[in-house]
Formats: sequence, structure tokens, C-alpha cells
Amino acid sequence: MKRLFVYISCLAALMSCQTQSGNLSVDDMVASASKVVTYTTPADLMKTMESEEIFSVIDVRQSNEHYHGFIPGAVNIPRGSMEFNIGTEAFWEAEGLYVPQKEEMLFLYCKKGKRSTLAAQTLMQMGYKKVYVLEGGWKNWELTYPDFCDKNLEMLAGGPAKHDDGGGC
Amino acid sequence: MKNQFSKSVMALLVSLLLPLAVLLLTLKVAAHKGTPDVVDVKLKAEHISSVDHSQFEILQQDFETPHDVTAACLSCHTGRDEEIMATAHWKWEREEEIPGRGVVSVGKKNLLNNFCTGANGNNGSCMRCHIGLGWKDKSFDFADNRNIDCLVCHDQTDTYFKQKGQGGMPATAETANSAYQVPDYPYVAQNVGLPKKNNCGICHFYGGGGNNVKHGDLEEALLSCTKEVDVHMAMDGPDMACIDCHTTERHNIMGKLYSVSSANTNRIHCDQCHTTTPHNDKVLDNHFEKVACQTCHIPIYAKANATKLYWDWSSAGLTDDHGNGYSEDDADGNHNYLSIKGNFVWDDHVKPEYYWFNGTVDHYLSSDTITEVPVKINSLFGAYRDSTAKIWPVKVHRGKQIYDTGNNTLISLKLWAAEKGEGAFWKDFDWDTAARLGMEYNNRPYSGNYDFIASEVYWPINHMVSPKEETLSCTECHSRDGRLAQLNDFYLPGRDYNKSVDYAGFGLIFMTLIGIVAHFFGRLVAYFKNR
Repeated sequence: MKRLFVYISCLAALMSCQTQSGNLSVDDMVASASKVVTYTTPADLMKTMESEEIFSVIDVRQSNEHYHGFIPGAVNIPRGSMEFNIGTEAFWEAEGLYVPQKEEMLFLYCKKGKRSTLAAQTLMQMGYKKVYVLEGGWKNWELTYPDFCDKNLEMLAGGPAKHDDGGGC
Repeated sequence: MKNQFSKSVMALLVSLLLPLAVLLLTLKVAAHKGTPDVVDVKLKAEHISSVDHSQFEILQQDFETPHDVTAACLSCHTGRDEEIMATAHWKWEREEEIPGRGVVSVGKKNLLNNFCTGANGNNGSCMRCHIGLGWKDKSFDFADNRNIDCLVCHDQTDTYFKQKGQGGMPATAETANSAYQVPDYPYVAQNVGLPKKNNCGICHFYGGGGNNVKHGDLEEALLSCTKEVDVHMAMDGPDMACIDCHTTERHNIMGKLYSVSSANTNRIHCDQCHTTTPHNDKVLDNHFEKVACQTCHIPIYAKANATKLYWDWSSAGLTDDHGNGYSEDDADGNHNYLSIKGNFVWDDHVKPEYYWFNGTVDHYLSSDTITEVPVKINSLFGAYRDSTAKIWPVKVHRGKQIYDTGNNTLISLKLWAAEKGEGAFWKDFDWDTAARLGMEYNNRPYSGNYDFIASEVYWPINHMVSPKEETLSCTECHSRDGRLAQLNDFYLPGRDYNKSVDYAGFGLIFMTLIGIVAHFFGRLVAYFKNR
């Protein structure tokens, strides 16, 4: 019994020396995700955008980053709400679009490519089959196609004007 | 029988263990590290003044102008004015030989760029970074030594500033405002010394109209940075000042800025302190032949604040409903639109582009016509077959700038004026007038027709050296889609391959293995047969 206890203690000590998932740095997580994620270039994304393919471009940055500049036609789903919104009809309806199917192409980007790599891994785990990450992110797009960028000046100015439609007594 | 057995064992050892021993020996030799070269490096000079300037009677007077301070300086530091007046910091041009052109004069005085297009004609604003006092127009006297501004480089009080819009003059009683007061000249003059980081940085950090706009690797963060930003200038490291590397002799400061100069002279090299074999590893040291130290040791630049990578002048000039200029920011708070300048793209933590560079540069001269698009404002010379060239990290600033469609030349714009109505673009937003006045000032023809054209300028990267733990790993370059993917005029192991050669190599290895195994089994069979 004593010997068994010693063996178990040794085994527990050895296991505690191994790298635990709780010790991963963000760079470790991105490096690990980048092994399973597929990357694409701005030129290839542009080709798809000019084609007849069915696709969605998703900006995974926070909305206050998105408004300052984004790829025309991109939908903003911050990474933190990706799992909740990607398949939610109400969200896509509000964007004036339909819910993307799992076989359709999804192009993800963030500022430089790290957040979108993690988001892409999540979508792949959720069953989305054609998820692509824009290499170098928004900065790469901005430098490759500086004349093909959009801004949401209305939101930067504080959002649409609020109308008081009257009422009251 | 026993003899036969021992022979067979020996054969087994030779056939299996010998290849293994050779392999291990090879690995051991490859991993061998010799004794490090010990270098007596003095990281930081002791900048202690040998005299107390506050004791000098001549500096205790109530100076009325900075020119009077200069006269007082020169009364003791005789001959220094001649040294200063011989430098590019004073002349803003130097005679240099450009391969294919011969000896030409190049410098800020006569070159164009794709930031604010050119300094000449915008003196009120641009000449704030000249080391003279009041280069407001063509009447500035370069022969008058009282026009030298000693204080801007030697002030130790951090209270002496040249006022914006005054052509390099500090504020006077007439021009002083809340941002710029008249300097306390006796106080500043009595507290002078060797240039500190911010004496250099006040111009070199803010070139192009803001912090880190131009260089990408030179910015205000270097005043108090960590080792991660720059190992040399780090506050938690050697805290070196600019002049510790940019040593000076007779006011000629070592170092080369290739946006305004051309020749492979007066340069600073890492090996002056670090030797040409600093790695204690032959394979790495051999890279010195073809790879600049900066290539591996500056894996990214703009490590603290963003730098401008793209500038599109063609969108400038939009105004609000009241005819006033306006600005918009990017997500990081940098302007990405200014009515006076157009659209920009900024980025931080930027991976450099890589080019061969032998230390000589060509420029688009003001007398040139446009022969290629994008227009190369400067071009780095170098190629793999050039024995003096190395692979160098480079910031490339791209943009669209105004050009004369009639004469096919880049236009020097008049951008700055104190008041509206003087034809400056930044006040009146009139392209044609700004182009005409800018070209007139620079004595260049203007057809009256203009458009915008793509251009690019190359800035070799030298600063923001990373700690050794953060240098590039081998596979960053030695891989198929690595950092050197665009440099394809040479064979790079790990990147370049030939399918036939690869198959042949693998085939040879495979056949060797089969041979070893067959030999092994042959010995076994022979052993049992003989038994």
C-alpha cells in the first residue's frame, strides 16, 4: 500500500511538471491555431469579392476599431461575440443579410491577423468548413488596396441622430 | 569458432555503429562553439563638461537675440563656425558621387520626397529643423557665422525651442504665444553641453510633420524606452545617447541618412563595437558576409508608436461645409485623413521589407523627368553578385504625389504660408497655385497641368535593435514563404529547391539506408551460415 502511494505521488509530481493549457501565452495560442487555420492574401480576397462566389467578410475587431476603417461589405462581429452571432438569424437580419451556411466561404480579419486566427479556429470547431484568415489583417488590406476602404463616419460621430417623435401629454 | 564470432560482432559494429558515430561526430562539430571574442566595449561615454559655463562673464549678459549668444560662443570656441559651415547639417546639401551620374549635389535643399514633397519654398515651417537662425527665404546668409544656432544642439535645459512657422527662429517678444515663449538666453547659454537624445530628436524624431512619420525606427519613445524597443538606448540598459554611436569629429557627425545622401562614406557600422565575428558561432558569423546585422537584429520597427507607410496626396483638399479643413483618425488614434495632406496608412510593429544594399543610393533629382511608375524617389544600389552588398531591412514609404503632366516631372509644392491668400495649399487648398508658386521658388518649369502619380522612397532601418532573444530565427528567412521570398537573385537554403535535385538527394539517402540494412543482413546470414 505504501509502495502504491509512492508510485501515485511520483506520477502526480511528474504530471504537474507538464505544460498545462492554463499556462499558454496568447502567442502560443495563436501559433497553435495558425497550424490548423488557412490564410489568404488581399489579392485572393479581392478576386473572390469580384467573383460570383457566395462569401462573407467578417471584421472581428471591436466596433470602435471597425468604424475607423474596414473592407467594403465587411460585417463587424467582434471576436468576443463571434460564437453567439455567427449563426443567429436576428443578427444577420439586422445586417440585411442571411445567415451564412457552414459550407460557404468566410473571410476573417482583424488589425494584423492574430485575433482573426483565434476566431477562425473557433468557427472551424463550430463546423464551418471554408474559413480563411486575411494574412496581415486590416493593415495589409489598407496598404494593398488603399483606395478600396470604407469608414462609418456616422457611427464615429456618435451614431444616427436620435429622433423625438413626439408623444407625451 | 570464437574468432569467427568476434569477427562477426566487429562487422556488426562497423556496419551499424560506425555510421552512427560519424553522424554524432558531425553534429558535435557543427554545434561546437569556440571561445567568445572578448571586446572591450565602452557602451556610454561620460558626458561631463570640463568647464562650468555659468562662470563665464560673457555668458552672464542679457542677450537680446540668439545671434548674440552665437557670437559669445564663437568668441571662445574659435574656428568652430568653419567646421559647422562645412557640414550637411548647415548646407543641407553635399557633393556626392552617384554611380551613373557622377558628382552631384544632393540634400534637403534640392531633393524631392513623397512626404511634404520638398522643403525649399516652405521655409517658415521646414527650416525650423535647420541648424541656422531664420532661413526664411533665399536671402538667408549662409556665410554669416552669427546665423549658426549653437543652442538647438547644445542646450541642456530643455527650454530652448525654435518656434513653429518662424524659419528656425525661437520666439521673440512679437511672436511669443502660449506654446512658445522667448527663451531665457543667459540661463540656456550658461547650461550647454554635448547633445542629448532630445537635442537630436527634436528634428530627427518628428520629420515629416509628426512623431515617427518618416523614419519608423527613430521616434520619441527612444527618449525613455525599454530593452524590447532598443537595447542600446534602453533606460533599463546602457541608456546610450545618439552621439555614443554617431561620434563626431570637428562637428562632422558620423552616420548616413539615405533619403538625402548617396555615397558609401561617413557611415557607422555595428562591427565597430561588436566585431565581425560576434556570435561565437561560425555559421552565424558567416552571415556577416551577405547579411546586415540589422536584418536579424531588427525584426520589427515602429515598436512603440506607428509610422506612416502610405500617403495619398490626391485626396487632399476636401473641406467641410464652412470651407475649413478637417481630420479623421484611424482606430489607433492616428490621423488617416487630413484636408491639408490627404489619406494615410499608419502601422506599428512593422516587418521590414528586404533589399540588397551596398551603401550607395540614387535619387530622383529635381532636374529629372519621370521614367518609371511608381517613381523611385531614391533607389538602393546592390545585388547578390555585388560583393559589397548585403541584405538590409528597409522601410518603404509609398504614396501618390502631384506631378506635372506637361513636363513629366514631380512638383515641388508651396504648402506653407503664414496667412491665407498667399497661395499655400495648406491655407487656400488650390492645387494649381500651390504647384506654380512652389515650382517658381525652385526655379523649375511648370506647364500648368497636373495629376497624381505613385511613388516610393526607401529608408534603410538601423535603430530599434531587439534583445538577442528576439532576433530572427533561421526559418524566418530559410523557408519557402519566409521574409526573403522577394529577394530571388540567389540560392537560399531552405527556401529554394529543385524537384529533380530533391528527388535525387532523397533517392541517394534511401539507397544508402537500403545498402546499410542489406549489408547488416548479409553479415547476419554469413554469420549463421559459417556457424
